[in-house]
Amino acid sequence: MQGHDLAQNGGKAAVAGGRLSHRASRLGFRLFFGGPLVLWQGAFFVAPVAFMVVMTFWSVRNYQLSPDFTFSNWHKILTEYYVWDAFLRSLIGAGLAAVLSTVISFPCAYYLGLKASPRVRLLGACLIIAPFFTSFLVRAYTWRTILGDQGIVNAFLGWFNLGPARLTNDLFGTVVGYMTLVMPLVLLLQLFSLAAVDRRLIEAGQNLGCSPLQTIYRVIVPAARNGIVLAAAFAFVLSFGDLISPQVLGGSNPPTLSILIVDQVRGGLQWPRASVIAVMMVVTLTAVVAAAMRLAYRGSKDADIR
Amino acid sequence: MVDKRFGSGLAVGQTRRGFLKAGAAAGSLALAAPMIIRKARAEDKVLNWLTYSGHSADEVIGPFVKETGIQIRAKEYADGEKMLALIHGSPPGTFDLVTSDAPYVALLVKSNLLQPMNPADYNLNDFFPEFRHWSQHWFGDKLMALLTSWGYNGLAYNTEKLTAEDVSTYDVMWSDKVKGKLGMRDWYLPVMGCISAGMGHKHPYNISDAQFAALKKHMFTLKPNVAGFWDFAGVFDSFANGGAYVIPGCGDWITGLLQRANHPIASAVPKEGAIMWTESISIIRNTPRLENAKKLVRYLTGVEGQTRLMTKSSYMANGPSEAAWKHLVQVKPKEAEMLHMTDKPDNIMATLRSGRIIPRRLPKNQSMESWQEAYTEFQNL
Repeated sequence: MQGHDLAQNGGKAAVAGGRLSHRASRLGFRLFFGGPLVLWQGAFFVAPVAFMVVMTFWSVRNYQLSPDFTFSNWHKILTEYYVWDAFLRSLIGAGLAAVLSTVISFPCAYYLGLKASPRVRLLGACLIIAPFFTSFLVRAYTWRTILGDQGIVNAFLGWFNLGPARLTNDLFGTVVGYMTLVMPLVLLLQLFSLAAVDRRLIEAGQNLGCSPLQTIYRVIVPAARNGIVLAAAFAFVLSFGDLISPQVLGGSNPPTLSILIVDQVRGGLQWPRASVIAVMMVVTLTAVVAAAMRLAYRGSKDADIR
Repeated sequence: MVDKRFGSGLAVGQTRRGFLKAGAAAGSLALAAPMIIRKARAEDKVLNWLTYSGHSADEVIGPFVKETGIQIRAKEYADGEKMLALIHGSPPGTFDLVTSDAPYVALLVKSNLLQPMNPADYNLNDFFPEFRHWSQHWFGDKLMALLTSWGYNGLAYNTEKLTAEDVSTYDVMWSDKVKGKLGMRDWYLPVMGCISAGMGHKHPYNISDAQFAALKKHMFTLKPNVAGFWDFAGVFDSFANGGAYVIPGCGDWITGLLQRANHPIASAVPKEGAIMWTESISIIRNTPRLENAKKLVRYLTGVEGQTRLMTKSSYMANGPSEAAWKHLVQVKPKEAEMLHMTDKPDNIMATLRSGRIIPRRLPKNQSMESWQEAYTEFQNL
């Protein structure tokens, strides 16, 4: 009996030990795969952002940064009307880019994701990726040639005695730049999420009498909602911080927040003020992404992945 | 250089491809800089030179390297603020020499970064008399820099759309002829300097607060004509593609490149005066390579170095050396013509002597921030 107990206890201990080593190995596993990410994010995201926030309280004397604790940079930036103008302008431009790229990409992503054969889908995906092979700066300058006063579009308008239309050096040009930057990404993300929609849902919808249009907005769009919303959020984030589009295609006329950051540094090396604007942008983007996540996962059965 | 001319412009090439290539080269140089600098410390026959785009190209310093065996490790930059950031952000001893815009020499002197120079070490007698004792380079009785290049920023214009008569005054910027075709550089200093000169200020950067307020107001009235605010590539492209007929704050240094590419674009010094830009070389205080540094300064201010600096492909420039000027007229008459460095009575030195080319300075009675801010407001209108 006693021997049996011993054996039983020993068995329990062995099981516990096994659990422990199992747990330890799971911890090791997590550290191995999660550690680099944590280190990377700590060194290249958290620390720089923290430093940027600290710098907003520093001051500049004789064109040299000196550690300080002053609110003057915050006061200066937050009370300037042109900063808020630029803020609103950046919001509108990036918002337009997000909405337009979502709407324009959808039919293409719908066709490639749900209608096209696997072969065509692969070809389509390759074509979507192709723009990434060229630098965005080059693509932006190419638009200047197309949209410029003597560009291709205006030459075409000229045949019909129309124009010349002003297509660059304003918000229109800037948004064209944003779209060039974000469309491939939006299209890819939409394609992935549409291709993953359960076909049985679509069939069920059709069996229950949905018209093709109803199938799209009552079945497919809700099913692919998180991908579509996240793609739009990405578009917003990338456009909001882009410097090339407002500079090269928008002609800094008028400026966006990213251009104001450059201006702060140019006129007297005002890194602290530039940091204040950068913090404004980070806060805005965090809010937009959080709202997008809510919209993407609200009420869905994927909610627990948050 | 690009600084005074194009704040955010990258390295300047004749073509957009050249520009991009130069940008890529500058980028890779920036990435490699720490390695280059570390390597340089171990050797002696080297010089670390912080300078404007295009200066360390073989077409400029080739003969110097060949003759002396001294390798040039250059870090090139495109605007003065970046130069200040680089020099303040690098450990002492990173650079042996720095080429900067004359107004920035004052800032470097203020930070005690420069080594006084002995005028006797250099052949200043080759210089035009007005450049031998250039006031922006002397601090008390100490010489802190030597002029290597200069030029002017007046009005650049499309000769098919505007006449020389039109651009003889800055008033043309308000004319209906250039509605929607008035380009602006995205850098406040030269543009605001030109507008200030246009208002009759003999010292465009030394104005009272009341005059500054008037300058802002006057500048804002230009906005309906403005097409956009551009960096170097944007200015180049806009002139080439009809997006702009006139742009203030430009000169032969850029229109020379456009002429080389057969575009009908020229520069003018309006009667109210153009703003001078300068490039000066200084030696960094306590450099362990003082003799090498002196050799490079002698080369760059000598006939060979000067001729090459004036005609380099990144951007053209006038030079302070009379001897080099004479040499240029003989060996490269076409370029001499483009730079108005001829024997004709209306050459660039005559214009300078007439007082119509005004040295550029930093704003005196207001901060750089407030000038930049006025420009941002102008853009924001």
